[in-house]
Amino acid sequence: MPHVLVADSNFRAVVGGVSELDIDADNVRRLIEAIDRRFPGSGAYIDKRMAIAVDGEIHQDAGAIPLTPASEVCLIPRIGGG
Amino acid sequence: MSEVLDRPEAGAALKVVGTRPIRPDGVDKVTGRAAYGADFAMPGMLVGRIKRSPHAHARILSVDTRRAQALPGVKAVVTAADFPNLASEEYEAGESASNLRDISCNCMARDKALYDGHAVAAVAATSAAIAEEALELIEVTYEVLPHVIDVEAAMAADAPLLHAHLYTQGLETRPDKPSNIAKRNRLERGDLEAGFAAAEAVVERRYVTPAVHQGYIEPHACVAVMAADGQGQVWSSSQGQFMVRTYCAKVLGLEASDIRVTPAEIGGGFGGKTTVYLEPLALALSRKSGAPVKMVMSREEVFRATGPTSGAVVEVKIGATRDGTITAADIVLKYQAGAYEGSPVGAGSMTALACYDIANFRITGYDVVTNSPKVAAYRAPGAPISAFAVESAVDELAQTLGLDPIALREKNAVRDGMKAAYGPTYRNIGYVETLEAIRDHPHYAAPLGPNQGRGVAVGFWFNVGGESTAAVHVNEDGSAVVVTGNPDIGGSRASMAMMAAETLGLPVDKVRPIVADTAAIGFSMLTGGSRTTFATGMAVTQAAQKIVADLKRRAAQIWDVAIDQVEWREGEALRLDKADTPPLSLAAIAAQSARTGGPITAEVSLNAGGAGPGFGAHICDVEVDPETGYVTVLRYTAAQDVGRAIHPAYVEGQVQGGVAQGIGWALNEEYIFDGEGKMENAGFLDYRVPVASDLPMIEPILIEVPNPRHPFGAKGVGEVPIVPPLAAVANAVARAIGVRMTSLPLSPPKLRAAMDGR
Repeated sequence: MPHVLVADSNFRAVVGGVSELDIDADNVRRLIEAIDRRFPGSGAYIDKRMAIAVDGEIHQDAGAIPLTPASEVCLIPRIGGG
Repeated sequence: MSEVLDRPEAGAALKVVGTRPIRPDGVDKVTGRAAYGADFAMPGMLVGRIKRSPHAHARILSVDTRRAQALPGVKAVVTAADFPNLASEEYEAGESASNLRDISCNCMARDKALYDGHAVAAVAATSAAIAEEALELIEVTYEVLPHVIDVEAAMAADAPLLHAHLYTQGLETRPDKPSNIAKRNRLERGDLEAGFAAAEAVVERRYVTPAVHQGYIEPHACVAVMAADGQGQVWSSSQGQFMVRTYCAKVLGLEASDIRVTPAEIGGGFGGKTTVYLEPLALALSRKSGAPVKMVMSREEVFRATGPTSGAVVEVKIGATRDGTITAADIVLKYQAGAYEGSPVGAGSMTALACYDIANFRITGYDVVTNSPKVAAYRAPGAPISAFAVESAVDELAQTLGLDPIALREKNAVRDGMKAAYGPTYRNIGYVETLEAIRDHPHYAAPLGPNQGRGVAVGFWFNVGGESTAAVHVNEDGSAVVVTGNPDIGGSRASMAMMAAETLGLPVDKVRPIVADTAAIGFSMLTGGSRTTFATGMAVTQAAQKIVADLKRRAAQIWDVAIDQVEWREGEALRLDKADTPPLSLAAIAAQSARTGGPITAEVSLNAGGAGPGFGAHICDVEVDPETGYVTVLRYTAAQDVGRAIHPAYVEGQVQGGVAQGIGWALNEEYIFDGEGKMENAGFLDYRVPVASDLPMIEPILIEVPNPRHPFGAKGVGEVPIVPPLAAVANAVARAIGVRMTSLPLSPPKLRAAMDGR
């Protein structure tokens, strides 16, 4: 199942201190819903503050991105810029 | 979600992309015809001015505007009482969530003034002289409070507290009392203790960088009018008209549909124009007076009241084995946020080790509020600060180990398939190629003279995508208009026109790029994060591809053949089933548009993902005058992975501009505050940015490792080049004088003192 990496300590606090999760989901939206079910409130946090990298590609809105069992999903703080 | 409909074949010959046409905004800018924020005027327009706090930290006990309002010629006065008292709420408007209450309070102080220059009231009058006289008549009663500006002093337990509601986020346990530390973040990997135990050389240093301003030449300026029916219009210089619309609507309690924002030409932004200062005040003054209001900041106001980037302290401990393998790094970053939380320490943390493959590290960042202007984004926000520290330490590590500084970086370089320190796996990166480019460049082997030194440093920026809209309209004569919602801060009009021209098969001078107002084009995130050529360019290309599909359909209709018998090539429709049929040019099809379905137009909105990260590697030569400590930059070479340069001259300009700003940060620029927290050098005479005569020709080397997610392979280019120069200059100075300099700017008095202490 897709492997989720939590690099940011602030979000790690939202998901019970874990740095890695294995979540069964076939797209990013369902993966976030699954994380939210396990850690209530984490879905809203992701929506507002996090960017999502799927297999190395960063997305601001990744909901529809399909996932495979080999997918790597990395949750990182949303990035702005100058 | 974005989707690339049709990507040019690998190796396909491009006729427009990669060339250097004359910029579409060039004539306007060199002739003075370009209309910047301050150039707009309306009949009956009033002049707006702002009364600012003279204290760095003070409770506002009362604001009495009666005498000002009674002055003949004064048409409106506003204070915080004229704006809704917003709840603390994070709102997504652009690149990331911002706290609306903080934005509102930064525009107009409520309860407390949090920095010298904080707005406490604003006036609209029939002349500048009357407005300024009225400011003197506004009586503000303050209770002056102790202030704190130094970042480490602000972190102390007994520091003056800016916000009673601020409790540090990101700690293992919720603190029991408020603090100026808004947030702590941490990234870590591996076993730090074991990593340092394996090290045979360790460098441990504390680095200090001052707050510096973006230094855009054009001050903030706007004209705003609020009609009697509640419909507002704003003309302003910003990096995002939609951002201005959203923030104005929220700060004033209006609907977004009640405000139309037209972007003026922008005279520099560099991240500093990604928020609002004047626009909500001008709208409020117009609402109260019933007349248009123009507001233009003075240079002093720009320095005192708009975002610089953080001053910071960064502690680095880094260790390596004798062969140069970096085994561990422990980094602590403390960044000023200014009056409200939200420094770029997160990005500083995430970029700090982004160029390195290190098994064991810990990066801890602190976001700290201080009695100074709220920081705003500045070109690769946060990254130059952490890169200055890390790249200085890596340089010293190379010296300690007797290794070549480029070889040390190559040995520890991230490559495709490796995990970035901030999490994701890298794909299609061109970092090693930039190191190879500077290693093999004649600059690196050129001899140095007495008192001269050569420094190397590298840098990284994520680059982002995000929401963009673009429209392409074909005119009746076969020319085209490209409409986007992104202010052109670095050549995006040229690159948009070129991508459209390439796709349509038109000469680029037949394509007119327009930056539209908020009512004329769909939403686009602001121009920032090095996103526009990537994300908006993707939208432009897809809109042009839709046009091509439509043109093929129309040609098939004209010829009365199946659409699969039509091919679009070099701006013409070709009939495949009857090759001797004369082709139909775009102009010929456009002339018949009324008979083939009406106007030829397409609009695409998308949220672009897959922006390719950028890397740069720089070499800097300096000479230090042994008598005065003055540093002359002799030669500078900057290699950068740019994906594919759509307009190479513009890309080279971005590289040169970023380097110039980084050199200024390294050598000259700093906010200087007196004992009362007032900025002492709020003008370009005393806050010295580099000018052309201070700098050598900066030689850019464009490395093209295409980003497969973009139709032409583009990556963002505007931010990477400011990341390495602080350390490249400092490393050159260290090698020239034999003393490691850890505090910027590297001003002559500091260097003299360092040289005296050798």
